[in-house]
Amino acid sequence: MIVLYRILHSAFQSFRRNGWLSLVAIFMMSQALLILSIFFVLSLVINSAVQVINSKLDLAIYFQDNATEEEILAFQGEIEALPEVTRVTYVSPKEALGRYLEQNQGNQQLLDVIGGDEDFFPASLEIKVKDPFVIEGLVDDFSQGPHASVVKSTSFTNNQEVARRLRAFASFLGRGGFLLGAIFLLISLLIIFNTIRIAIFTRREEIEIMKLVGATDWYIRWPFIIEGMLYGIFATLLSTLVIYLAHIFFAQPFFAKYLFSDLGPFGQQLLSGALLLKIIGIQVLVGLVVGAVSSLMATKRYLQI
Amino acid sequence: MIIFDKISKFYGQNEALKNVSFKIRPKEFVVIVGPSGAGKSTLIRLLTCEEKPSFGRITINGRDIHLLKKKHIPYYRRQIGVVYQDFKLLHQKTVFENVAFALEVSNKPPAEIEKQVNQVLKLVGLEKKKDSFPHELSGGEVQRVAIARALVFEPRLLLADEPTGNLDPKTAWGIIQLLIKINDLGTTVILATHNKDIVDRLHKRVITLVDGKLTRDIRRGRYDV
Repeated sequence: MIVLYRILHSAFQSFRRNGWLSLVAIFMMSQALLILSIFFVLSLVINSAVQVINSKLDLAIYFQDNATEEEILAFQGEIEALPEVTRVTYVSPKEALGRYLEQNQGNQQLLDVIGGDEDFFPASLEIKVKDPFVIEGLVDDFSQGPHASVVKSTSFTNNQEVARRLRAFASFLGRGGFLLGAIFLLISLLIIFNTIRIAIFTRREEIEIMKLVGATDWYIRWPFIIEGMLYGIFATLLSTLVIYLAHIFFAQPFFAKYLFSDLGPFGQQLLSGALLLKIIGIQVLVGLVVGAVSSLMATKRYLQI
Repeated sequence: MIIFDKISKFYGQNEALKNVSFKIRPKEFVVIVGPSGAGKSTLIRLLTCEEKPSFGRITINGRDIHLLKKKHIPYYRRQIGVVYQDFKLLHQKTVFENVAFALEVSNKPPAEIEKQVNQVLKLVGLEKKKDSFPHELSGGEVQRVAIARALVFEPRLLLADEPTGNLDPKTAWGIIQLLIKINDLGTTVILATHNKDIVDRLHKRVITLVDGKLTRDIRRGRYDV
């Protein structure tokens, strides 16, 4: 017990008495944690953007006017049975018209074009797929299968180029995000480790003296490890404050309006407190673990007396 | 009884000690003299287990100190007191804390530490400065703190490596008198110095090192290199 007290006492005391050093270490570490947190949020945004893009890349099949509803419904059943398809919705000409009228309520010219013709729009099946990369294969199947004769066109043939580009962009974001994450993590770890190494380097004489008066290695090490963890905790507080301010003054008013409205439920999640808590948790964990391990590694060479 | 048995120490090609042998009896006061680079500090560092000899062995009361396991070295160091030319005090600790630290590492209860530290600070005449930090003290006072720390374990062996090197002659002699007092209380003292005045005034046993070789060992010696 007395040893534990002395170790804690010594850690807090030298944290306080080496005020400037502690302050610098905390600032450096909080920067590293900020980088990490910003990336974490960024990767969530990228991920959800990829999801949104993918979910918007659906397939619609438009039918010839002579296709009967039974035929279409039978086709729907077959498509639903395909493993790569998540959902198929039948849109009758009437429903299509209804949607159109609703979307263009204020625009009389567009409404006049149709002139109340119930069959102006073709019947269609809207197909949601698990992975946008299967769309091409599906289209080939449909245009060659037994139902090919009633298929008029597909959304894919209309938007082929756009779909291809969006898909490529989404997969680039996904891969690039991972690489960027790895780089940011590495940078943060190196910053924290080097900060603590320098902090301990300036106090190598202290370690030597402790060794010479007969302190055991662990008795010397523990206060440094605890100091490293204290840096981590204070750095987390600091960077969380910055993130919180950014969240209130920047993210909420601007992102909510312009960016996240397109991200659907994820946008809401991004603005909620749960995410902030998650970020704090990650920071505390990284701060504590990296602070402690860095101290452990950095004291090692000065203990060889 | 401390026995240096044919000790040689190499730093790379450089031979700091060459086949040095001598014995020190309990409660002796021994002065090790010689010019800078003669091997005095190496000799002290061998005794604190900061270095290992290249050849030969050093035994204290029959035990070879360089056969100690690494984890036992801290406990060995608590049995010897060491005073350095550059004091080696912890700058961010007060006088009291610097001395107490040596006891804290050995797991002593606070009340006992308080008592022992106050006692030893009184012995070196610093009981009034115990809450000062080292940078607030004079050179002589700082060295007294270092001596207090070395003594707080009540060691039977006190090593002093140029303890007066950074002090003016008057202050230096005060430190030497303190060492004599400690020796009178029953502690073996090994003092390494190249200060001629001090050696001549001391009239104690003098071991002379020149270029790593033991050239003279005289019971009531003078500085004569």
